[in-house]
Amino acid sequence: MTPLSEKSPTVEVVDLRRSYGEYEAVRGISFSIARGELFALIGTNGAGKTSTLEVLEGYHPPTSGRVRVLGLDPFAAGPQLRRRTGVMLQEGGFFKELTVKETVDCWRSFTSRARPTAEVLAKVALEAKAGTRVAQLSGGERRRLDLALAVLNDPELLFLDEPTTGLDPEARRATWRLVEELRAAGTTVVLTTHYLEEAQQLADRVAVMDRGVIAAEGTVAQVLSGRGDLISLPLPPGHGFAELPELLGTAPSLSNNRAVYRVPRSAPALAALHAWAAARGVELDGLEVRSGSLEDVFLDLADRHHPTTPLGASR
Amino acid sequence: MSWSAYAKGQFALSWKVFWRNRRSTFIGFLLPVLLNLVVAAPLREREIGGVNAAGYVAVGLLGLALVTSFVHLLGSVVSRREELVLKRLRGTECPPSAVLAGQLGAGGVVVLVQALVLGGVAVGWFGAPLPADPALLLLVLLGGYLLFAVLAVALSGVTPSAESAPLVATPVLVLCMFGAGVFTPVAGLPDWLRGPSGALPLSPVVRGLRTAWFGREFGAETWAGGPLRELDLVHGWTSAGPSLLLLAAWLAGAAVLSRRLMRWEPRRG
Repeated sequence: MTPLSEKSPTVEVVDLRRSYGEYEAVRGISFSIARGELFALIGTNGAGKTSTLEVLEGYHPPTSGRVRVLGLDPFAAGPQLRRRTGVMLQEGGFFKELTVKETVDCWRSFTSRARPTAEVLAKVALEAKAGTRVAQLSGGERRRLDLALAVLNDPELLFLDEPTTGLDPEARRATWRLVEELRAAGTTVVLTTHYLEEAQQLADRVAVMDRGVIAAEGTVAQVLSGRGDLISLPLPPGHGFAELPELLGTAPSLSNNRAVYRVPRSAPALAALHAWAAARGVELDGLEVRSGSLEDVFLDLADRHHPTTPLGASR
Repeated sequence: MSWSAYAKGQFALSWKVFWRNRRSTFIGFLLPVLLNLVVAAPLREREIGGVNAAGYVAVGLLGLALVTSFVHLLGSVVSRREELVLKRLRGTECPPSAVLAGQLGAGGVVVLVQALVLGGVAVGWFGAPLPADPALLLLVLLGGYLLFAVLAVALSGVTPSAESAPLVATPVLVLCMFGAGVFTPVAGLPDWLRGPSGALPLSPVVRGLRTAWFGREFGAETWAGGPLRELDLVHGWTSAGPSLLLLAAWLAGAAVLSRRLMRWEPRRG
């Protein structure tokens, strides 16, 4: 086995396709992930995230294309590769008959270089549940048990398929902290998520998947660049939508009874809006300003497939 | 870690889960033992083919224990698959072959414990003799266990859910229980049933076990008939030869089927 150079990518995917019978879930995607990077695959249900991840994890061979994980073919080199990776499935099963501690103990018996049970349970804040049968755990606790087992071997590369789905906000933050700690220690992380906030907060780079292809890829800043800021306000009483001004040459759009402007820079646009309001004695209650988010990228993609009914048309 | 270390870890896991789960403990362990007390014990004073009838049935029940472990393994492989336990285990560094070996190994040790219980009761209470040929007995027992274990793995592939496992397992259990001479000699069956019954996977096992245990030529025994011919060690093996061949053929078939049918994940969609 040739040692990997520090520079070679941890994950390399070239023109990956993956079909299930007639249905092509992944339709030719390419990306690479550098050592120590946190890479997030985001997208709606059915976008192909999990199918992609399961090829990287070695569960299925690619239908076509080339995949290398830590320099190895993940399907052919499965068990050998998994000594160095950790896998948290979107949905994984455990033995309901065993307690949390027994589950980790058993897993340790077939894991090389396994961390002590107490240590991994502490990492995911499950110490108090050590003696509880898996059948009695809540959905979120089961996710945390899954995470504990995924990091049991101190993996070089960690796959997390929707790690925080079903977690309460506190547990979600605890998971984020753990992921950040692992990354600080040099672990490469591949994450899928529905929660754009999560990708935005954690990821060095994101790939937005849509119907089996990558619609946008890069750092969060790159994916968001050129999207500008969003200013929205409820329609002022006594003023119709048509009376609202253009801001920096941008006309508003109407969404849920709010006027929404997408502007390249918010400060001059707000100044113009305030000037318009002051001249008419209009209060701007409920005004909101926020920078562009991945959610907008998402919604744009959704719009592309299902164009919304034009304004004024009846539904 | 070596392959055997992985398999050992999986063995310990399956062993623990087996005794924790009431259903598997009942079907996989208690059923043949209870049948032994209910069906075999009352025959203590009778004889068949020159041997203690209760012991004769007890050894038949040892054969049936292989089928009850089949029922247990089938249900357990299917529910592990449908509950995504197998998928989760395949995400670890443990080789898939070691996952299966550990599970089948745990089932095998359960059968050995049953052999000790059934045999101990037969010798200690029913007054049956000690096994005449322990080596042949062990070979038939292990070969038979392997056959039914591999068959369970194979048939798990055509069993869509844990709920439907009994639909697949019960016919095999019933056929083997009544067709393979567990409780009563095959020679007592109507002529037209004797051929198919001899071809059942359990038939060569039960016959081989009895030959090994009692050192007599089994196959033609009836309740009314006289003592069977006694065999020395060499003739025990030659008498068991056809049974061993039939067993090997079943095992090969089950192995081919399991390679084709076994699935690690639920079917999609």
